[in-house]
Order: sequence, then structure tokens, then C-alpha cells
Amino acid sequence: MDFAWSDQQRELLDAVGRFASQQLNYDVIENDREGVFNREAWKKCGDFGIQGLLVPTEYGGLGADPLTTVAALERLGYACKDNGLLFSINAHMWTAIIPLVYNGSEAQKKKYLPGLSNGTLIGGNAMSEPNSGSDAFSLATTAVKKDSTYVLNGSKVFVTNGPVADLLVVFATVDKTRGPDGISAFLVEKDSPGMNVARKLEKMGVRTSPMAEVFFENCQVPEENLLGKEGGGAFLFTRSMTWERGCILASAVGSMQRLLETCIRYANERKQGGQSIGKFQLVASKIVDIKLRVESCRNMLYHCAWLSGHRKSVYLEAAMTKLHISDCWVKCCEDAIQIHGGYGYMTEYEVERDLRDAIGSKLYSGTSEIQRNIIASMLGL
Amino acid sequence: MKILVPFKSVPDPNDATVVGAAASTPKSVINPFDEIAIEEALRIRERGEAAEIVGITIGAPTVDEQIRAALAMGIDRAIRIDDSRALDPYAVARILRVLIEKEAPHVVIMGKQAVDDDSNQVGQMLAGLLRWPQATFVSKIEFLGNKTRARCTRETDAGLEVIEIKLPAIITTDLRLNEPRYVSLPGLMKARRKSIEVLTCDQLGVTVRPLTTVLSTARPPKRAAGTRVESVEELVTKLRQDAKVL
Amino acid sequence: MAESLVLIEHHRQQVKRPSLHAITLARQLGGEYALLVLGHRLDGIVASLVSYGACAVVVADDPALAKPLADRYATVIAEAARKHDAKIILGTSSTFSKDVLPRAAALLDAPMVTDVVAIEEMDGS
Repeated sequence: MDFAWSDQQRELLDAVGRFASQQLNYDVIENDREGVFNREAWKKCGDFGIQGLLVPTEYGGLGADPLTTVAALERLGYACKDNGLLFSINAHMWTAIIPLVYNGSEAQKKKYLPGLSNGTLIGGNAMSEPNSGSDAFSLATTAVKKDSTYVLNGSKVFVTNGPVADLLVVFATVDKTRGPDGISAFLVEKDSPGMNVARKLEKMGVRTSPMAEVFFENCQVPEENLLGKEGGGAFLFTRSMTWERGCILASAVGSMQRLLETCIRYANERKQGGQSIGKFQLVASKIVDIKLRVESCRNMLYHCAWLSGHRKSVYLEAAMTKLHISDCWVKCCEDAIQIHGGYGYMTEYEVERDLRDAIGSKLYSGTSEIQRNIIASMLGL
Repeated sequence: MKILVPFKSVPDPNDATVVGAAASTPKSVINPFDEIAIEEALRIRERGEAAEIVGITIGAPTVDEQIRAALAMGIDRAIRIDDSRALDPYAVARILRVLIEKEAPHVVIMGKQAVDDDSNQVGQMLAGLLRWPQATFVSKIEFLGNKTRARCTRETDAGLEVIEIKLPAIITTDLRLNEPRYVSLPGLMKARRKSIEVLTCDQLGVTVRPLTTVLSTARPPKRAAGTRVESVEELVTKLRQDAKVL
Repeated sequence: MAESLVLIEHHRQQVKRPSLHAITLARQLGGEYALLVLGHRLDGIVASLVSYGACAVVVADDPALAKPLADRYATVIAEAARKHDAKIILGTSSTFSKDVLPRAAALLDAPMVTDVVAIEEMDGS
């Protein structure tokens, strides 16, 4: 088993790290407080090539394999402190780009992928509804075909990137009686007639990632914007959700690594009772725990991505990766705050923000409970 | 127009490595002033005024990483003179001179100084050896007369000075000339298909021996804390006895 | 014949202060030193330079030298250094000196050191 990066991968990862640490770490505390999306930083990431990592080269992307992609996102998470920005980038990659790459027609790919790759277009998806979160496929949003248009009616909640998205992948049912087999996916451009991006939702964490409720009132969507087949929405969703679960917490691994280094530095510098607090076993032990979590998370992340790159099904591995990293991330953040004592509670030290950002990871892309259900069923229980 | 950009690989100024410490190898980057030179060459080409940008550097194979970064920024090809000796600015100028005569560019744009030694000599020495016009510490470049001349704004102690020079010439860049683009991932991909030519001083037919040697490098002495005095008399005494300025 | 040649900077008929530091250094190095001044209409400057203990004040006064253009200045400096068999040319850390002296060094096939804070020792060679 070769655990080494190639020269090319190392060069790419170093470039990501250098770019992120020099270009993306400004105004984070203020933007987090005010819930401001850093559009300039988003654009820089687009120009740099982040959003297009996985997109095939013929549509303007880098055509990187899954392992290189997650490693790049991990490095991004290490070097960039704005977890919200990264959350928006991830939502864009897994919920808009991936469905297009796998299920888009040639015309749709040509129309949207180049802009999505270089960040000039912001994407997201609208799946969850007020009455269907974990029960994902019991959608109330309907799509009725009228001549060459689909008419959408319904309301979507927790739409990440909603306030700034140019394109949303909206899931609606064309036939409630068919259950999941009635669900279809639609490419809905912003300002479509009948589409109303409503109030911005204020969150506990990843506050620099904008989120809104979106209402569809006889929203007209041209038939060429059906993504994939009618009734193919559930399959499309599951596939992109598997990608999402395997990859969305790659940057969290990088964040944890950064937390580890921050804690080590603090533990060595902070002195109490005449010695560095790192010499106290209760402090050192927490840092050891962080280290162990980083290592195990990293290995699961890479393994899942490696399998994906080798075209193996990763339904189980993705769920395990997502569950494990989210649990570990929250615990690492709690430990980091504890290690920093009172200072860990202060926004200025930027440690408390990571915990607020991390807690969301146990909820999005399927709650931790859902992940456990998936794993249990894959284990034959 | 063909632009030649000599650049140097230097320790990363953003990396807090202790001088002289035998710690891990410091990370290297393209000298920031040379990055500005590369950026300017790229902008000149984007304006349609240049057709080819060639980068040159002198060093061991380890500097290939910086060469790839320059190629990733957008230069067309690169030449590395394989030489891992500690060279002084005059030796560098003498080597570059031979390469410039070989490549015959219309203009050479390079950083005014390298941040590891702050010598600020190579460009001027090169101009002297070639008997070419020079414009140093430049913050603006315009080409005139169908690219036979360049009008350059220079950052001097007296303020901004504008001079006009005939081409071919040597131009050294100052901080305010531009802000370099960062290497993008697509740029890195394209760079892999660009060529790096490796030459030796022997192949160029140039033999140089550095005339300056670095004996030692050390941190500057820490600034001593100031002291407060209680009276004018005490101040005068200290100025006379301690500071010895009276 | 002078061991050191000091390139004097001036502005509006006044010698610039940093040049005085260069003269002091020349004095500290021991041996004879000459002062070199370039420009146009330099009578006032030259008059003020005679009291600095130099063995010679070398003046290059010409309309062509009215502005400090590097190629012209470096040629004159190199010529003056050769003529006076100077072992060392001293200047200041100004943009003027930095623009001109390295080019002069190349014309003289000589090395150069920038931003010196101290000269520890010097022997004949």
C-alpha cells in the first residue's frame, strides 16, 4: 500500500495551502458575526481552480481524481479558517456539480459546468422541506408538466447558497403515488418566474455560508432543464449524497489538524504554576486524543476516496466517514476550547467558532442517526 | 517581442525560520520582486505586446519547484543553469549575460533585488556588461515607438522619476509595479507540458568565480530596552557616559 | 592616486548628509581618499567639498550629466576610478548610488557589497 503522494500531488497540495493561507483568511471574525458571505474569496477560489477540481477538463475543470480532490479540500480546510466559505464550496460541488457531471445532458453540461467550475456561477440544491428532512423522499413539492414546461409548487428549507445561487438543483415529485420513483430533479436558474428566495436563515455556525428558504409558486421551468430522467431524482440524489458524505468533511480533517497545532502551540506557551500547561497530563491527554482522531479521520477519508477513484461503491464507507469525522470534529473542538481555558470561549481566539461550525456536521448530509441506520443496514442488521 | 525574466529561488520570507538554525530545510519560493517581474511580463503579453516569455534561473535541481511555479503563472519556457555554488551578484550577472546574448530578448525584466541578500546589483551589472540602457526600481512600464523604446517610472528617494530608454534594455522591478497573480491549479496543469532546459556554465562557455564570499550570517542584535531617567542631569550624564554622544 | 573614491551626492547645491557618512568611512579606512562629484554647474558644491580633507576633488561637470542617468554616470565613475587607481569606491544606500554603482562595478570588473554597516578589516589586496 503506497501511502505517499506523487510529486505532482504534493505540488498541487502545496499550491492550495499557500493560496488559502495568503488569500482567504481575512475578516473571518466579523463576517461570522454578521453572517456575511465572502463573495470575493469565493471568486478567488474559483479563479484558483477549487470549485472545478472534479469537473472533467472538457468542461473547464481540473479532472482531478477523488483522492487528490479530498486531499486538496483537506489542505484547504487546514489553511483557510473560514469554515462557512468551505461549506458553501462543498455544497456547490456535491449538490450542483456532481449531479450535472453524472446526469446532465451534453447541452446542460456545456451550459452550466464551465461557470460552476470557475465560480462565476454559484450552485446549490433544494431538497429538504419543512416536513421532510431525514425522511428525504417524502416530498410535497410537486412538478406538473404543461406543454414544454414543468410547473413547480412547494417550499424548500435549509437551502445552502440559496441567497446567492445562480442555479439550484430542485427536487420535486411528478407523481406522489409513486413515492421515491416519482421524484425528479430540475435545474432552476435564479429569478425564474414563480421562484422566491425568501428570508436568509441565521445559523449557529458556518454563518458565512448563506442559507435561505425558497418558495416555488407556479414556478416555470423549461423541460430541457429536467436533470436526468423523470422519476430518476431519488437515484440521482442518493448518488450525489454518497459523494457528499464521503467528501464534505475533508476540509474538517484539515481544520482538526490546524486545531491540533494550535493546541500544541498554546499548551507549550501557556504557563501556569511555573510550567507549560502541556506538561499537565490532563491537558496533554486531550491533545493526544485530538491527534488520534485526526489520524483515524484522515485514513477513513482517503480510503473512501481511493475506493471511489477505483469505481467501487462507497455507500457504506461514505456513511462511516461522514459519521466518524463529524463526531471527531465536534470532540476536537470541545477539547480545543477546554485546552485554551477562558480564552477558548472568546471569539477573538477563533476556537469557539470552530465548535459552532462543527456541530452542523452532525446534521447536514444526513444526520449522524441516519448514518448509523445506513451502516447498520449495510451490516445486515 | 521576446521578454526574458531572470528569477531567483529564495527562502520563503513568510516562513519564520531561524537564521542559521539547522532546522528543517526552509521552504523556497520565487523571489517576490522577480514574481512581480514575471507578472509584468504576463500582463505585457496579455496586452498583445509580447509573444514569448522565457524564464531563467541558476541553481540546483531543487529549484525546479520554483521553475514550475513560474511556468504555472504563465511563462512559456524556462532555462535552468545547473550550478549549486554560492554565487555573488557579479558572477550571476556574468552568467546571465552569456545567456542573454544567446537568447537575444527585446527586454529583460527582473526583480530589483533578492530578499535573501538585498544586494540590488545584478540588473545594473548586467546592463553594464552588455552596455545596454537600464531602468531600475521601476513602478510603471510603457512601450513606445513600436516597441523600440520604453518609458519607465522609477521609485527614487527624490520621488517618481520618468525616463525613456532604448530597447533592448534591462528593467528592474519595484514593489509598486503590480500585484502578482497566484498560481492557479489549471496553471499548474498546463505547466507540466512546458519545457525546462537545463544548461551548465561549461555548455554556455562561461567560467565564473565569485569575488565575494559570505563568511557568516547572524540575527541582528536585539534592541535593548529603553531606560527612563529621573532628571535632566541624569540624561546629560547618560548621553555623555553611556551613549557617548556628548 | 587615492585608496578610496567617494561618490558624492548632492541636491540643490547642497551635499547630501549620507555622503558625509561615506567620507567619514573613507577617513576611517586610512589612506588617501578622493571625492567624486558629477552633475552640471557644480561650483558651489565643489567649494564646499574642499574642506573635507580629501587629497583631491574630482569634478565631472557637463550638461550631459545634469540628470543622473546611469549609463553616463557609471562610465564617468569607472573612468575616474581607473584614473585615480582607486581600490574602493564608496557610496551611500540611496537609490542614486544603487542605480549607478553596480553598473560602474561591472565596467570595472569589480565586485560590490550593498548596505554595509561596518567594515571589520581590510588588507592591501
